[in-house]
Amino acid sequence: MPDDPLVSSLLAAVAASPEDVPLRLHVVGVLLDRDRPAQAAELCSTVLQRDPANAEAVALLGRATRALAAPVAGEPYAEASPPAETGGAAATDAAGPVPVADGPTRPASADFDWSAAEEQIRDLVPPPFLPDGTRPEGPPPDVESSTLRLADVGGMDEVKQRLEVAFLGPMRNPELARLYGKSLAGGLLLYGPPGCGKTFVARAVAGELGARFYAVSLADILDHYLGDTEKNVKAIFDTARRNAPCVLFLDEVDAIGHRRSRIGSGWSGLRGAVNQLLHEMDSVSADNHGVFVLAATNHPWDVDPALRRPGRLDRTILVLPPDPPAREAILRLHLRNRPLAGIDVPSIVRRTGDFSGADLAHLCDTAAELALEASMRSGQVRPIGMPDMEAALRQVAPSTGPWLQTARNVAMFANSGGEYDDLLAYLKAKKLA
Amino acid sequence: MTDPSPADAFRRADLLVELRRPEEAARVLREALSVHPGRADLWGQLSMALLAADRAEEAYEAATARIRLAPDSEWGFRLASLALTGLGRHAEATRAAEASVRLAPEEWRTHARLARALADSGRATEGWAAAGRAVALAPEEPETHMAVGAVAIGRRDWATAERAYRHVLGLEPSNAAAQNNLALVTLQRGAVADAVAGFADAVATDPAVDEARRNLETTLRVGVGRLLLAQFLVALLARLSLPSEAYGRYAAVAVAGTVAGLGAYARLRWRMLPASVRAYALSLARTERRHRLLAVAAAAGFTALVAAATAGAVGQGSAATVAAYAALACTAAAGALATRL
Repeated sequence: MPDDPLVSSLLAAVAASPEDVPLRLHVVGVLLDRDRPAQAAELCSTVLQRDPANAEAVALLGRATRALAAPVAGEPYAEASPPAETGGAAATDAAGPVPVADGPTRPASADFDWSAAEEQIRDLVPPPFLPDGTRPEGPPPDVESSTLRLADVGGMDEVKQRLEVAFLGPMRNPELARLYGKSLAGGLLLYGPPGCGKTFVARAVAGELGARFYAVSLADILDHYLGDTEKNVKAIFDTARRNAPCVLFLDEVDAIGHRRSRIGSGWSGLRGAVNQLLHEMDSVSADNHGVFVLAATNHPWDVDPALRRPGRLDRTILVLPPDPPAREAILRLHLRNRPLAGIDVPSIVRRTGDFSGADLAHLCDTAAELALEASMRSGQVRPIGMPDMEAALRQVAPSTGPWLQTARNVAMFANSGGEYDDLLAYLKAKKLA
Repeated sequence: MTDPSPADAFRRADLLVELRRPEEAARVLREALSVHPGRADLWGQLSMALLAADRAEEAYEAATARIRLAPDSEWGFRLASLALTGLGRHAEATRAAEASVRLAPEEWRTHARLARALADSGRATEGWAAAGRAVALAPEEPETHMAVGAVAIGRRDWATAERAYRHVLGLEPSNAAAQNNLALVTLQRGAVADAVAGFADAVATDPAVDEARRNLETTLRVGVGRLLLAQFLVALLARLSLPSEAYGRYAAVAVAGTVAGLGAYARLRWRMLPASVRAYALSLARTERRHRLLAVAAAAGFTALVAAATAGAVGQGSAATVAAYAALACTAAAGALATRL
């Protein structure tokens, strides 16, 4: 099927904002209108996995399955498409989807072949309940399928290029990699200032590898695994192995794999966690079970050096504040679905050099709050304009400053092995070193 | 986040502080305290988290709450002492530390705290005994030797301070605070290059703590200031001696020799610095305007001094005078920048 620019950009927006259910459903409507029911059904099913009672998703899935079950277009006796239940794509404009008019469910059409439809979507929609006494065989809820691809990540060309060379290329061409003596063992460490899209990139790597995505963060360790840490680090890796191919993403790895030399006597579990992590990483390398370990940290200098030795997290990629194309994409994403008037996006892009993705989101939110406040005061809806953005720019400062200061110390004084040369080059380019 | 039990909140906060996330730790503890306000251990932990977050005022309030709930426990008093030190209220900090010692004389932490509080109050001699008791109770604890170092610095006993910090580094090689303090002691003993290397090591060990980098920068400026003072004196000598018709040429040779010596000495000192410090100093000159101006002014002063000596050697007295004035002006400007940065 030829690439449709609208669909491509909408899918990119979905990938960029996977939690945005209204957007996802809007894209489903567009896909259905463009005769792409399989993709539409897949998107619908992801919504239903999270919110099985979403009436609009149910209705759209019904429409998608009918389209899947229908005879191919052009057949003389093809059944006419039923009327659009969501008001049709024409009615679902950028302002958001049109709510379902007829309540949460619709009666089944008498002539619809439900058996065929169920057959077609069997793999897309999981059964709602498990039979008594059975354990789920599929991935646990925190292991997800990633449809995100690197092409969906705006800008960040250098990061993508490095990912391709250092990680994805060898993974996709194992024979070629072996020919050149490139080991496939070991993981990848993404580092950089907070809020700059490391998790997003990791998700896209999973999508590129066609692997499941299993993210583990400090909150998981603290909330679920407080106590028997070694055992639970092992459980995390076992889950990843069971779901292979799987990208195991260790977010805030400086917390999980903290430098043992800096761990005090306060909580010995942390030291055990690092040791277990080392053991598991070696097991992953040795057994090569299709588990790709990716990790992210804002503070690579706090990660235990043993974790960065060959065969472990031996490849590092610096994920910097977004470059101009990425900033433009992020700004447009966060301004989407908001009333706007005369926003000069390129001008904002130029003035947000050190802003992280999170800072840009905060900037848009602040401008929206200012416009909302003005609207409430005047009693008239006023769109977000450049004066609001200007005022927000005065209020919101980039949050990357303290990180850059520490990064400068690292690049200047703790870079004897050259492991932070890319960081040093960036700081020099920014005239910070 | 689910409602944690007090014990879970305590341990989670402990870990978060250890992971340098004191703000998160404080949030966890405040949530737990909203449900269990009578838990003295949580108040103590909150005070500790707030101390780590440099929020001494709130840390003091939390410590006070802890003392109200557990007046027989030393921890609250020790935390209050730490917070009061952070607030610059050293006399009160000492009294709180003394209270903690009275409650737990067998606990090394109370003596170490008292020693440091006394050192901060300018009563280092009295702190000496407390530091000694702390070491006697826990000789394997780096913190007790840190207390000895602090007291020794207060007594200007550099040799003992150096021994104490070296002992800490023997026990805990990655103790950036000990590295920093050792470098400070080294600086007091006049070994500027060694001190600079020590500060650089401290930054490399723990880049997140900026104090060592600031100390390094200050030490570099002091070193540059001394060189500039020497350069200024040579420029003054040139200004006074070079215009003389009688002995101007001899003076020019003397000035040229001194300038060459000064240049060679500066070069030697520069090469004694670790490569990382040289790179850092160059980056300062590249990236920060005032440092760049300082470098330019110092170099211009040196060049003018060479020009003055050359003009004096060929008998151009008036040109030598102008160049000497330029050298004085540029060097003075550089000196002013070095002291005001």
